[in-house]
Amino acid sequence: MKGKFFILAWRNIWRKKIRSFLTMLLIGLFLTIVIFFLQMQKWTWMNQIDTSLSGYVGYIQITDTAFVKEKSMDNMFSLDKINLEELRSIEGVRGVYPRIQSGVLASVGIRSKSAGVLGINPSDDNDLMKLEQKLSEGELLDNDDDQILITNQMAKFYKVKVGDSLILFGSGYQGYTAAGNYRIKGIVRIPAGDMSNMVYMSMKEAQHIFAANGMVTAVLVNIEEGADLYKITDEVKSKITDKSLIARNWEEVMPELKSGMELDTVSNQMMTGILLLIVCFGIFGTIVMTYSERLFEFGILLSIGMSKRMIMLVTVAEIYFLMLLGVFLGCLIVTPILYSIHNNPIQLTGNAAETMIEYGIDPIMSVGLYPSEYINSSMIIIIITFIMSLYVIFKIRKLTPLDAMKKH
Amino acid sequence: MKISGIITLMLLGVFGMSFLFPVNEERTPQSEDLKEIIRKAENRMEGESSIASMKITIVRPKYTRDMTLKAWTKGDDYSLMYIMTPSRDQGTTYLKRSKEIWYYLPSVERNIKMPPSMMSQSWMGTDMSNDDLVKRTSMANDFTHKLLGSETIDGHDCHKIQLIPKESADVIWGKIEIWVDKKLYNIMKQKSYDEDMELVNTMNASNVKMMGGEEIPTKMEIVPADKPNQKTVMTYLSIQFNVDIPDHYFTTQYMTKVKP
Repeated sequence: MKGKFFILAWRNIWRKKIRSFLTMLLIGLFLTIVIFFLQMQKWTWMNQIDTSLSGYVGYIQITDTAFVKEKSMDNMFSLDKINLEELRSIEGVRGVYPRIQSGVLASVGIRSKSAGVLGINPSDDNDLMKLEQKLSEGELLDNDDDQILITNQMAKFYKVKVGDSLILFGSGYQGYTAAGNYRIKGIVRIPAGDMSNMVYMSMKEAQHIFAANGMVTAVLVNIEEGADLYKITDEVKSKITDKSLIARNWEEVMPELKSGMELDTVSNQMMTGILLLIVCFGIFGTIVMTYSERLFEFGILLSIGMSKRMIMLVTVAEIYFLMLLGVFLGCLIVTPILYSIHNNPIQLTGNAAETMIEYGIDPIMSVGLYPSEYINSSMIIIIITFIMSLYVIFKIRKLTPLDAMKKH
Repeated sequence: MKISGIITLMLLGVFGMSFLFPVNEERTPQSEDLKEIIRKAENRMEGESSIASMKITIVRPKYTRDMTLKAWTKGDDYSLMYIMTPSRDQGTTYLKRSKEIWYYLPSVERNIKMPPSMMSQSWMGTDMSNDDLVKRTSMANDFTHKLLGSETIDGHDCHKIQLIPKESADVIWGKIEIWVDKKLYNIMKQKSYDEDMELVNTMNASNVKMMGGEEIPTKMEIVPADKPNQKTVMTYLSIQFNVDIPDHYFTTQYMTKVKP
C-alpha cells in the first residue's frame, strides 16, 4: 500500500492531460528562457574576462611582492625564481606567459608621446593575443626579433608605416637609461583602450632595452575554460617558494572587473525575478485547481477511510511529478539550442561589431554550457514548488468530509 | 602749543617705555628683510653662469646607483648636462631651454623633446621630476614669508622661514619651509608640502666648503616623504662660477656633439 500513492499520483496527472501539459510547458519555457539568458550572460562575461585577462593580466599573475604596490621596472624579478614547467604541469593550466610591461617615451622626429611597451614571447603570445587577426600591415614578430609591432592608433599619430622606425626612450631596470631605435615590422589594429597605445617587442629585445637580462615584470598563468580558479590559485601559490614573489588571481588584481560583473549579475537576477513571478502564479494556479476541482473527491476518499496523510502525499506527489517533468522538458528544449549556438557562435556585424572589435572583444555572440546554471535555475523551481505545495497540505489538514462534499 | 605739548608727551612716553621694555640687541628680521634674505639665498646657487661636475647617487630600497655628470648653466633658463658615467649611459645629454626639455641619446643618435604629458615623470630616475627643474617660481616674489625662528643645521645658524604661496602665484606647493644660513645665506634645508599640507619631500644640504670661490653646501640630498629608504644625493665635485659660456651651447645642434 505504501508505494501505491506514486501510481495514484501519476494517474491523476493524466486525468487532465491538457492542463498538466500546459503547466509543464509553462515551467519548461520559463526554464528555457532563464537558462538561456544565464548561459548567455555567463558566456559573455567569461569571454570578456578571457579577452581582457588572458593576454595582459592573466587569470593568475605572479609578480614581485613590491610590484603590487608600485608597478615600476625596479620591481622586476628574475625568471630563475620560478619553475615555468612545474606551473605548466598543474592540471587546468592552459599556459604560462612571462611578460615585461613598462612605459617609455616613443618618438618620431619632433612627435613624442608616452607609450606602453609589452615584451612578449611571440611563439606563444601571437596566438594568445590573437595578433594575427589584428595584424593590418606587415608581419608578426618572432622570438628573436629586434623589430617592433605598433598599433594603428600609434601609426596614425606618428604618421609612420611598416619599415619606418620609432625611438623608444625611458628608464630601465634600476635606473639605467633605456633607449633604442626600432624598425616597425607590423601594425596591429587595436583602435581603443589602453592597449591601443602599446609597442610590442620580443622578450629578448625588451630585456635588452631595459637592461634586465633574464628578468620579467610578471608571469601570467591562464586556466582552461571551466577550471576552478581558486583551486589553481592555491596550487600556484604552493609552487612558488620564493618569498619575494606573490601570486594573485584576477579578482585580487582587478577588483573593479569583479564588481562590474557582480553588478551585471544583479540586473540579470531582477529579470529572472520577474519571470519567476509569472511562473509562481502559473504553478500556484495549477495547485489551487488540483485542490478545488477535487474537493468532492477528497470528501468521498475521507469518508471511505483514506487517511489525510495519504491524500496529502498523493496530491503533493502529483504536483512534484508535474514540476519535475516541467524541469526535464525545459532542459530538453534548451540544451539543443544552447549546444548549436555554442558550437556555431553568431557572428555580429555592423556598429555593434565595430565597437566590440575596438574594445578587443571578438564580435561574436554565443552561450555557455555551464552545469551550474542548469542546477541553479532548476533549484529555484523546485524550491518555489515546495513552498507552494504547503498550501495544499494546509488545506487538506483542515478538511472535513462534510464540508468537502457540500455542494456549493 | 597744545598739540606740540601732546606730541612731546607722547615722545616722552615712548622714550620711557623703551626703558621699561628694552629692544633686544639681536633684531629679528621684518617681512621686508625676510624677502631680502630669501632673494640673497636664491641668488646663491644661481649666479650668472656656472660649470659644475657632480655626482648623483640614487638610493633605492634594492640598489644604489651612481652617475657623474657635467653641467653648464646660464641664468635661470639654460642648462646643459652631459652624463659621464655609468658607461652604458655615457653621452646622454640633457638640455633645458626655458620651459623645454630635450634629450640626446647617443645610442640612437637622436634628439628627443620631452612632451608636456611626461613633465611630471622622474628626471633621469632621480627623486626630482622634470617639472621641478623647469618650473621657476621665485621664492622671494611668489610667496608671503613668515619667520618661524632660528635653528642650527649642520653646524650653521639658520633662520627658519615659512613660505605660503600668494593667491596669484603658479605654485604647486601648499607651503614651503626653508632654513637659510644667517651669515652665508645658503639654503640648508627645505621642506615642501602639498595643498593638503602633507610633507612631499625634504632637501638637506651639508658639507659647506669653499668651492669656486664661494662657501656653498657641496652635498644635497632629496628625500621623498612617502617612499621610505629612498633618496637622491647630489655632490658637487667642482664648480666654477661666472664663466663665459657661449650661447650656442644651449642648442639642440650642440647637444649632439658635447665635449666634456
